[in-house]
Amino acid sequence: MRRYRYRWGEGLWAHFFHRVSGIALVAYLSMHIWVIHHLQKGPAAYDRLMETLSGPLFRVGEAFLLAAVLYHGLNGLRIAAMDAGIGMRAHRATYRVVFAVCAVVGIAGGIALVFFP
Amino acid sequence: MSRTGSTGWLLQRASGLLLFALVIAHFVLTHFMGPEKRLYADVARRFADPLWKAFDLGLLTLALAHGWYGIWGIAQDYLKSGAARVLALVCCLTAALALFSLGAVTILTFRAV
Repeated sequence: MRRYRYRWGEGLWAHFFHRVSGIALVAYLSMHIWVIHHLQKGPAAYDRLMETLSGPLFRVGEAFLLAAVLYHGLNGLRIAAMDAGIGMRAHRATYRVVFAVCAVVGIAGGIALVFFP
Repeated sequence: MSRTGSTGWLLQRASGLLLFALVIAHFVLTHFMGPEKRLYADVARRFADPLWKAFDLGLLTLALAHGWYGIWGIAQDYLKSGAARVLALVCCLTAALALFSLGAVTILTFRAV
């Protein structure tokens, strides 16, 4: 039995974050569908639920949601481009660009979500 | 689905590209267009237009298909036996169909009160 050691470069980080953000997004989507089905319970119950879900903790969660959506989407475009043979040589640089865009837009959008709802 | 999984691979790329645009539009519309518009009345206003219902139904379908296909792919990385893989596939399909039903019923049967 051979033991393998991973070389944690940009490619592996990109893959790892893609997987983690994907799982998180499926978990969020499931909860989202469940929450929205409360529309059936009428305006009063639905708006009460929305008020609970507008608390500070949930807004911080939404900032992370934004970052996960951005990362998974941008890195997904990067993967699709590479599948088409575009940007293979520059894959480390494009990963850094994806990560930087997510950090900047995620933090700016997160601040907007948390402090200026 | 083709034996090599290339059809699934292609659909995952195509749905991913569509979702990139649709999910960002959905997020911006609900969060960054003035004061938050997510109370019952806001939903009722949007759902008065059947095009919005179609938009949300499309988003629901694409996101669930893309998401659970992805989860199934991850499961295949770790599950070696055929039986475990079939079980994982059944679980993913069940979850996706249950969530699709819940979401589709919510969208299609919505009547503002």
